[in-house]
Amino acid sequence: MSKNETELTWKDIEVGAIACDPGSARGYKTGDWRSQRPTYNHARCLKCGLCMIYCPEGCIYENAEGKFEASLFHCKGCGVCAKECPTMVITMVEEG
Amino acid sequence: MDKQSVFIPKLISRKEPFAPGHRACIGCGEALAVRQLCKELGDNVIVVNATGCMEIIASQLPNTSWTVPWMHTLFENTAAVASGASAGLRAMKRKGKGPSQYVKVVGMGGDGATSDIGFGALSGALQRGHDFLYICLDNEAYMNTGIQQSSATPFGASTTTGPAGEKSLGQVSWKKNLPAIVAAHDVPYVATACPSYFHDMLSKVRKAMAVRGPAYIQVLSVCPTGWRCATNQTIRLGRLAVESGMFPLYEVVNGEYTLSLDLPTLRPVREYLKAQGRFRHLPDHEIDYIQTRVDKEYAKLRKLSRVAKAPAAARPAVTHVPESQGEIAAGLPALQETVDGILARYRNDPALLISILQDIQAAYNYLPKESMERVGSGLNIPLSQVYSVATFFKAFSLKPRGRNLIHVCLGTACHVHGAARLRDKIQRALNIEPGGTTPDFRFTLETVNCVGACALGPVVMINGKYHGQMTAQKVDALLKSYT
Amino acid sequence: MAEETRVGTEVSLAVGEIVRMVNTDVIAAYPITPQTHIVEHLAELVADGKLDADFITIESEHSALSACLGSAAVGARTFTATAGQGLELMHEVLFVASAMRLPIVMAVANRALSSPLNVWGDHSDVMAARDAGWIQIFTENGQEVVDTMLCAFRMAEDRRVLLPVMVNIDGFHLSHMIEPMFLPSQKEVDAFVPPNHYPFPLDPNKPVAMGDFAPPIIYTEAKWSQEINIEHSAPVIREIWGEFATQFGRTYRPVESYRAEGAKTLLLTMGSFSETAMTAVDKMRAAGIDIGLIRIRLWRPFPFAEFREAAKGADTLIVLDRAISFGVGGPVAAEARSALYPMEKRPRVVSFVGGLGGRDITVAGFEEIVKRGKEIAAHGSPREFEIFGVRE
Ligand SMILES: Cc1ncc(C[n+]2csc(CCOP(=O)(O)OP(=O)(O)O)c2C)c(N)n1
Ligand code: SF4
Ligand SMILES: [Mg+2]
Repeated sequence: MSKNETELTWKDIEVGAIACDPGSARGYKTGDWRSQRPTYNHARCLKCGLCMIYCPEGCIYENAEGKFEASLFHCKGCGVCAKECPTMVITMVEEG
Repeated sequence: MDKQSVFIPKLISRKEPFAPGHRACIGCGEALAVRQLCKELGDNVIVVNATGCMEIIASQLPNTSWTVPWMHTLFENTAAVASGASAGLRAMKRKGKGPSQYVKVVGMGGDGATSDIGFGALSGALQRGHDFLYICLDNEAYMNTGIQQSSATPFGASTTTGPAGEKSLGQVSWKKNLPAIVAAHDVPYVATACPSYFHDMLSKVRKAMAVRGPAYIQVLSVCPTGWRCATNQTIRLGRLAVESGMFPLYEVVNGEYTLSLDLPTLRPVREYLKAQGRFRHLPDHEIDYIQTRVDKEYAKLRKLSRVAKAPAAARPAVTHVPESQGEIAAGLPALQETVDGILARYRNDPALLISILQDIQAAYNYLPKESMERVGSGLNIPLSQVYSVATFFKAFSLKPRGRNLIHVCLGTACHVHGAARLRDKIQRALNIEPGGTTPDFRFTLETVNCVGACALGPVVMINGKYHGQMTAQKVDALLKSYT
Repeated sequence: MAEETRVGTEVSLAVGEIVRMVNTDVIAAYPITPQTHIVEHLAELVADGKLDADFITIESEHSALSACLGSAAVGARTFTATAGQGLELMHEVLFVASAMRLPIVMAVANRALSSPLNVWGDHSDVMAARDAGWIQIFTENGQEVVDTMLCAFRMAEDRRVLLPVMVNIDGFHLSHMIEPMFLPSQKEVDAFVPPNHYPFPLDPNKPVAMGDFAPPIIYTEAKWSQEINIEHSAPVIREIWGEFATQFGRTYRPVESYRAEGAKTLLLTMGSFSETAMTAVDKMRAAGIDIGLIRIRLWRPFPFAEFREAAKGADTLIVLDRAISFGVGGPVAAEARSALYPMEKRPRVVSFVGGLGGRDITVAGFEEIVKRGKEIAAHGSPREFEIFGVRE
């Protein structure tokens, strides 16, 4: 469904009000919720992926170098990755 | 806890079947649990969800975070809806209708949905024996409606309907032992889990998915909003809950209890309680009471559990460990059969190569050359591809390994706590280098970089079982306990 | 038509036979008098291998209908039955079934509600469920039950409808009657009821999410689409009844009239009492009393046009309700009044409640109701509605 909820008319409601576009919540920007942001000192990264598996959002991806980084579109800034990174690659900084 | 490895996160599917863009609170452990669980549930599931945080946050019309078929109807009926879906699929399959592949119905509900209002429906569904997996996302209160007390709220926790006050401690009764009640239904598989121990949780999901009948997993899910803690404490608090014995990890397989993580010593519950606002009001003598009770409950659980007596029981997947090279050669026909069985379990799907290799490795403790050839031909992919995966992950070994696999964690946290000394000590004791196997096939020694149990460091893992806070002095006794 | 067989059997068992003949996949039901004979018969059919279905011996009615949600959502043909307290325990789930557009067929052996406990028939149960968004049909006799059951699966599963259907069968008074009925042949059933093809099942090969959360910005749209849908089901229901008439020769309409032509006073009933009421009308007509009968068969969606058409021309409409909306009166009377209100010249509605908790109303009783109704029409009543047959 391409329209957002404010534009939808009753005719756009699917049978039984089902959502037919799996995973479409991706389009919702939760990054706006953030008050702090992860920053990286990737030199220390072990590429272990712990931050990726512990991220409640599932917004951490492996970059071209095989190191891990959060997509700020979805990152809510919880700080779990920074807390769990065994080599303290990640530092949370206040959003400006 | 089989199949431990280096950088375990890398072995886990990168797909996000529970898509980001959900509206869970910042640092939500329940959303994290669902996200991790979905990675192991795979595509061929139907998820039936109770009303509660996970329903509200993940699917706001017209969108959804779910990429597998998902249904939410009400708060208290999840197990009943799952019963109907499971029966419907079964009846249709018999009559040649519906999806052609095997589909698992997975119920998911909060602790309130499961242990309170939906308790009757769950009990009925378990007793009738439907083929379904029920996952209770236990954040220990009715969070979606604003942190009200449930029967899963732990003793002493303050909630909005059981607030601490001049005359009250908050929750004054002990947390309902739901896994034991579920186990009393005589179902094949019951387990507790926590996303802080994701590899343990996912291996439990895998076992539960293999059951044809009712299976139940209760997942402790830290809720920073309701527990009143910082949003970055989600993983740490999960660990503390487990390591303090407040929420032990165990399995009940056909009635047999096994502790997944049998800690030599429990951390003081004080450490766990003090980290959360919901317990902040507790006076010392109440904390002492909780400590006594937790110790007692943990001792009960240990007594029930077989793990202390027979460590190998924790690794049911190991079907054969070679005594000698000669035996390996002699065992070839059996090997083909085993590998074919594993391939069939994964429907000869090349996309599941890693899982297949993991299972073979679990069966033999290494990947015999012949097994990889068999895998290549069975999946119809070049042998080089099998080898590239087998050699990429340090978790796989191409050499025969001992009956007992030792992993010394050299991750940062363990390193700081003297892991290198520990490694040297074990090397000397067994007279092998890392990567090596003792001539009697009793031990293989490997090193890893972080097993995700940093708080326990230094950690030595033997056959998937953690031995935390290890010292060089304790090594000899530890090795002796493995034959 | 020639292939039908005439059998004498209990109406509950005939319900079971139709559920068998349409090759239902899942039945989830919880026992409650007077529904028990329906589900016991079905359990027997499954046990004997005469129906290849999963019969879920579930632990409550709330769960029974919930299981039906799951089963219908995966695309299985689904049936349940209940009565009285059971329907009330299902209450919450009823609304979900309709809003999610799940084609479940449910027989309700209508029963009174506690307290005091009473297992006999009246319409208290269904009247409390009338706003649940289900198609609701009332039946008068065994043949009508059989025919309605058959049509119910067609209606529920029609791509243009996709709604749950409730077939109301008066408890004991109808459910336990042994009557002669025509049962269709298997061939006829197969021709009339095609296999269920739910268009959006829960299927990993084409994932959908059912039961989203809807904030104020979109809830109204969702509800309006549901309303339009049930309104649009009416012509399809008529079409299916029309097809049924062609194939089986028996005609069903949303509203039936009996000797109503030109009558200035009309009696309105629903369910099995209509048979007695017809006899009473015959008797009164023979005695020169001006009276006719109308009967609402399709209760939801409410057949406004047909109802107004049936009632027009009369001065008085005497409504007999088998339920009380406490503090208000008879629910059917209240709806009849509001349906008639927009008419320029409309009959005056006189409301009676009677036949509660299984108390019978005889032919003489209907004569009395009509007599008193005419008095009220002429001189008024001290009350908004009156109760029939109460001991003073
Ligand atoms: C019948 C009914 N009663 C109450 C509610 C209100 N309600 C919705 S979610 C919820 C709490 C859910 O708690 P839990 O199951 O623990 O899930 P959580 O939100 O904590 O994940 C409550 C009380 C409801 N939706 N339905
Ligand atoms: S209240 Fe707790 S469980 Fe619910 S979304 Fe927020 S953090 Fe998650
Ligand atoms: Mg909860």
